[in-house]
Amino acid sequence: MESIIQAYSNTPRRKQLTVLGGFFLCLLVLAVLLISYLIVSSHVVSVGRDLQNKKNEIDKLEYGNVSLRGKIASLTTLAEIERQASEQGFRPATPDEVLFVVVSGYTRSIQIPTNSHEEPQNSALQAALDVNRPAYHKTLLEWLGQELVVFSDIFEGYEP
Amino acid sequence: MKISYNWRYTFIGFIFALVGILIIGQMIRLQIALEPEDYLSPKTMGEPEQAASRRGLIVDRNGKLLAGNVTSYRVTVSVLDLKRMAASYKYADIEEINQIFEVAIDVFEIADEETLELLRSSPYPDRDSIPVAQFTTKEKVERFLDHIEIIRQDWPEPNEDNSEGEDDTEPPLVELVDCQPIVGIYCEPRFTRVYPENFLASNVLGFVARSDNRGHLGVESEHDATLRGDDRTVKALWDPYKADQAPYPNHGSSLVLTIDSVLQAEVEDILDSSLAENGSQAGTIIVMDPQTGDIYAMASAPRADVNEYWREEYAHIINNVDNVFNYAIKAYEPGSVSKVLTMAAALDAGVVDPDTVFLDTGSFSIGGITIRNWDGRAWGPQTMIECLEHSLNVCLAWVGSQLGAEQLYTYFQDFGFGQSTGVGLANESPGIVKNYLSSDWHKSELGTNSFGQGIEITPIQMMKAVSAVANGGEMVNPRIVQAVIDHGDYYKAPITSAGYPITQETAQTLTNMLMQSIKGESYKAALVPGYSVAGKTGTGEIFVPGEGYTSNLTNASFIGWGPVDDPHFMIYVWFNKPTSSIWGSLVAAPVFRQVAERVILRLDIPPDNVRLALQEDT
Repeated sequence: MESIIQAYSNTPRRKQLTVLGGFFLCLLVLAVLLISYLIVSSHVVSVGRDLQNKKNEIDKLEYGNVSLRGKIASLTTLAEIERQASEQGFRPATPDEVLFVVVSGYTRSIQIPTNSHEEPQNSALQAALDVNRPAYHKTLLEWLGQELVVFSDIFEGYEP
Repeated sequence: MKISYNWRYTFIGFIFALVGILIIGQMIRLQIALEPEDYLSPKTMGEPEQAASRRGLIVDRNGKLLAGNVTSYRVTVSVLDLKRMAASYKYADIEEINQIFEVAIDVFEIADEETLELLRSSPYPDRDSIPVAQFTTKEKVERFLDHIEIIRQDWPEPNEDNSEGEDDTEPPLVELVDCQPIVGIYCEPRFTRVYPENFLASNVLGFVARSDNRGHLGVESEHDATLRGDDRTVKALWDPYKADQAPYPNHGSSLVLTIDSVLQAEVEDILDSSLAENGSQAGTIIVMDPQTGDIYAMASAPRADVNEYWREEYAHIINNVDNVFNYAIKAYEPGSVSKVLTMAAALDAGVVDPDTVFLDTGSFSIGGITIRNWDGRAWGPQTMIECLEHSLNVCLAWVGSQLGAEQLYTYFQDFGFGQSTGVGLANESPGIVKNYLSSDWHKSELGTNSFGQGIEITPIQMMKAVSAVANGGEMVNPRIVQAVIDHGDYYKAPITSAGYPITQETAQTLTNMLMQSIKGESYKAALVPGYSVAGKTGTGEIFVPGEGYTSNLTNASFIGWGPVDDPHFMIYVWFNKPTSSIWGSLVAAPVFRQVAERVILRLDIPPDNVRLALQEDT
């Protein structure tokens, strides 16, 4: 160790500075890498958080949808509809009150169940993955620039 | 030179300072940019998180919801957390915990002795959580929380900073109850099965038990694997890098039934009023399309409100002793309705034809027993049409003997007797038809089985078998599920043929015979004005252990279909032990007509003259 210190102290000053400069350059590169890592990490963290929040939101919506569907079903039960119909003066038809008429060329349309198309589950998944928070898609300078613009706009009386 | 070096040092120092500021700035920005609500609740982080799946819906053929889900809540009180908070903030003493539990007992109407004892075991064990409600409504939870608010008026707010401030956002249409602000009280939402129509088609649907979250009886049990979703549990993630591993539940698939709920309701009304009129203990009415096997209505009585399947009054139905949950799939001795199939077999085998004359002497001996007619009379010379019209046991026993055991039982097997139809309902009985080669079979059974005694058949089996007669020889498999909706994809269940047990000619001949016989005096009540129908009554004596067969207790049935040239409906009526009359012709035949009239209106089936005019027009 002493010999290294001896050799270094005997080296001309210029050479010492070159070594020192190289060391600092490496340090600078490392710092840039760390910043890049931090930016990427923050981006991933925010997207991850968003994903978790969206998932919680989906869960809440799912419970909400189920409750709403239940409410609709209870408001449209056959008994309820029948009650409303009879209140409005309707009653079931008897066979002798129904008149069938032959209409040339008429063909009856086929009924299709009304709620046969549910939202596919993977669309909810897709929605959850579609996270777009502008703050984390920008560099610090871009963000600072945008904030400055907003700040200066306020003083100009500009309202977006 | 020295000055130059100083400048360089300063420059490098400046660069490093800038880098440091950038790093710190980025960190501060993250702190500012993330709103407090963006952070996950510390309670859930790192703990097992369950993504509850939603059970698939059951809808009728027109999309009417028959079985769905609602959001209910599980409410727990953590005595440990309350005590911890008491230690930290000096609130929630034992007296107040006691008050909380008393409120819970009152609001959630807790009657279970064990739970009551636990909730009143002051000063309370330090249990993590005591469940006070398992499947309660949002309204009850809110009432409970309102009471808690009064009790905890003096308590400090755990999140006072968050509770203040105006919220400009529009409130959601349906909000989940949030218990989080109250430490120690936890509400967990969950999906719970609900049947909005209560009693309607309950015998078809079955139910989902809250204890095991599995389907029991009916469609719920038979298609449990399809309807049930896939719950997923993972640890709530600290690490946002693994956010994509968050659990997404696999919700269950939905079922579209062939049932028409409007028709089902009408048929159930007819069944209930008929039971009240004729004094039967139980009964069933089934409406099926004989060309596709689609069950339009399957009413059974007695029924249970499957939303409250645990009630004492439903115990005898739900426990399903002897398949009483759904009489449509319960085997019984059908009596004379099965004469249709004996005659079909005899006609198809060429043993008899419609004009074959049988001399009815009032009795027929076979295998050491004497068979008599329902009225004990001798009817003299009778054609096969008259044998059916007068429902003569003696004649049909003779027909059976002419056919022979091998042929008769082979036809019975071809008609599907002794095998489940696979209609799509749990606990379907296969019925009982003895093997004529087995040691417990006796020759006398050839005679009795020919007119529907000594064999057990379910109504749905009978409909399947008779569909061959109505449908030009082709037998269809009855089905209750029309389609499955899996993640937005609609899969139609195919209409399946069950083979051709008889020829088209036999089917046509027998249909004409039954059309003629139904016009006889005995069955007139079944006739539907303007429509051609074919059918047969049945009165089967019931075997009482220790007493044998008794004429006082019968099964009164009727099977019929129409319009005969292009059948769109087949109706089966069965009343168990009617008291107003024991005869199918008096009890079941008029009900067939009542149901047929509603079916015709609901399915928009024009009268024969209009229909034939339409056919000519096209």
